[in-house]
Amino acid sequence: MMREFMDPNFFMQELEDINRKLVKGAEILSTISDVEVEPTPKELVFEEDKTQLFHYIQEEKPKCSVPILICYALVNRQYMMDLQSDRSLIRNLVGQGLDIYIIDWGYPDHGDRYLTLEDYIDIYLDDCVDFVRKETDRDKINLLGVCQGGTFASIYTALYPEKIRNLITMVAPVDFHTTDGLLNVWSQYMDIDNMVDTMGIIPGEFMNVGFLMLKPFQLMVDKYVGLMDNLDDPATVANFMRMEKWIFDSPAQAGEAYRKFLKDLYQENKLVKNELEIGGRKVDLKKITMPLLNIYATEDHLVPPACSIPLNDLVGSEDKTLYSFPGGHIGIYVSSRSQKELAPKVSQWLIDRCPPVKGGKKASPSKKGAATASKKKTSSSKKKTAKPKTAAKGDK
Amino acid sequence: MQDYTAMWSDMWKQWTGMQADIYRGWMEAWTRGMGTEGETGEEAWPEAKDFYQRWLGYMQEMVSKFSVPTEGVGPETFMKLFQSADVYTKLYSMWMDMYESYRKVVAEGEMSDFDAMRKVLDSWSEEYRELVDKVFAPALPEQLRWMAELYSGEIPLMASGLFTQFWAPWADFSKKVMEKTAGMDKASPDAAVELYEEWRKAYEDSYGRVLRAPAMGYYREAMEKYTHTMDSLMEFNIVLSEFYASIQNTGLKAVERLQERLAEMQSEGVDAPMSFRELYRLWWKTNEDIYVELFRTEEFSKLQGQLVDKGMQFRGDFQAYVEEATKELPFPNRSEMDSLYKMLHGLRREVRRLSRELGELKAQEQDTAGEG
Repeated sequence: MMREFMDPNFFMQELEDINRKLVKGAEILSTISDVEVEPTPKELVFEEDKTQLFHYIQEEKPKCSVPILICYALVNRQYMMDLQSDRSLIRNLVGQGLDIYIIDWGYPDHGDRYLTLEDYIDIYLDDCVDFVRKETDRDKINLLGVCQGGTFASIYTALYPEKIRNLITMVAPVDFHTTDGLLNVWSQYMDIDNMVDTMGIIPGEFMNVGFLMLKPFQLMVDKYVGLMDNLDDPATVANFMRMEKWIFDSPAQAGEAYRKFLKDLYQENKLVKNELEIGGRKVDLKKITMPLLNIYATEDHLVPPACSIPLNDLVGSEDKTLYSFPGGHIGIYVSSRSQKELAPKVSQWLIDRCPPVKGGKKASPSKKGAATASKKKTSSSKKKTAKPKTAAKGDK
Repeated sequence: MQDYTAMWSDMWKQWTGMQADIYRGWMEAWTRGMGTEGETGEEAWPEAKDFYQRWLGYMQEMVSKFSVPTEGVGPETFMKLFQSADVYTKLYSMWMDMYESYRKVVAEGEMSDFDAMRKVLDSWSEEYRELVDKVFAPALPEQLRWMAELYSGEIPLMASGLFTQFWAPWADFSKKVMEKTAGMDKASPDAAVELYEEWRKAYEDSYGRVLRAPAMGYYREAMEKYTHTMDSLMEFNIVLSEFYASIQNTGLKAVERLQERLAEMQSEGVDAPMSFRELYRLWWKTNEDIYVELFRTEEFSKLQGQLVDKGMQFRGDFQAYVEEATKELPFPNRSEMDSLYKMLHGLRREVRRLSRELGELKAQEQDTAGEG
């Protein structure tokens, strides 16, 4: 039987099919109690206020003798990079022979409303860098900044170039005055002072509304209609639930840090104008002279390429690489292409710029007496091994 | 401390109540479906086709009532799934109405193009607007969640008292509105904005003046803050109505654009949707495109900025009022806690600085001792 243009008979059949799937899927959904995220083994090695530093357990001898510190954004959670075993950029990088530390900024509450960008960059990030330097007995380490964390990493490296050997930025906004991204456009019309003065901390739910509005039909309807097609496959449903958990696992933003980030960067674009000051010090991107790998995603709707690409022209580095990843802001971490192409690219780029590994030194933690300058080092004997997280309630 | 026994009892009552509703609905439908002698199934139970829709509605309601606050997993995902299914089936239902109408006129040889659908479009424009609201439901109510909390608390009580007290001046306004809307398309979002404008004028001439007048007496401070709160709530509602009108108007534009594309596809005979899923895909992508066009405009960005700004103004005024009204109670308020947080933040930094200095001095001392 040939179908005709908009044939109602077939339409009815399809509707029946999808309703059948919905009922069946509801049954499957009701049996899924939680999902695990962050499967790669790691341990807590340092903490300060709500900031925690984790070290991924590396059983093999590292191929790059210099450790890498990952600085994630304050928005959403760092486990996007380690969502599940077969979609984990972290696991992949560890497998490629990198010794990795990662910062978890925690969940700011009202008591953190006065935290500033200076607190995040000059204190928390700097203390984490110092901890890793001392722990691994290195003057300089590698720094990888992701999204807003990439902006932080660029600012930090410009302020403390003597501590960073190689800088990697991933989908990091640097030039905020582009009209390619809706967030860039909308932020021009927001009274940030009024928001921060009124709310103190900016709730994660509030931020999420903005993100959902960027693609309303795709993110609020089609995503779930698409799920209906696969509801009879528990593995697909579990993958969906992990992503769903991550998307809505949104920490609040500390008010004063948010104020400065939005006003100085989104609204006034001070970083590219060489006008940004952190703790009274001017941030000059030309002071970034070490090798730079700047990665952007071609389909990124949150941080469009136009926000990230200019970094290469603003730094003082001679060895600088611009890497274009065909995908979106999230796909860059979880897509199969990312696992196949991006992780090897990053690790090879770093290995090429690392001093040769001497002897049989393992990057595994628990070396005694390495860190002394840190405020609250988690002592080797008390280091906590973090188990995979589940989506159980009260996770925050 | 929360009374968990009472909470559980309430939840249980809600649950059993809803189960009873479902059962009652089912039994009524079943009884009617049996019909009387001589009736066909369709005659006896014309709404049978809506039964599934009603089941969906019940499921949504049930899940939403038992949903826990953590976002993204569990009941919330469940609810979003059902909401999306609802959008999907509603779209289907509307589309079939339109298709049936189109089929009839074509069969009668009146018109053979998509203009025939316009008549139907008008008939379900209000329903379509509801559909658009549903699409944005997961975002907008969240954005206004804190607002909803306020609406369900003290504010409605205060507002109802105030409205009763000042009802008289509004009688005149209602009369004018009746006259004005007699020949108007009531479903139009623009009409809603016009109505709000009229309402705003009436408000400015009545409550606005009263609310902004200086208060007197012992409770003056709280009264002033309260009136500011009411004033900013009105301001917020006006911008909110404009915002919704903008969203809804765009939804209708998207349908028009979809019609045009379908007409092109039909006449050119290429890429025409051969399944409802294809049609649905075309529908959401057309909507996505047209909404992004809207979101990129300076007008929308300004409107959204105003909406947030007015919302913040209301929230700030409400907080100020609550603090004033509860200042004698034996617990600290937000402003007092903020003051402590600020001091604590400063002290933390000071302790950090002094610890570092102390460490450096100790190191110097050890170096000096070592040299000696």
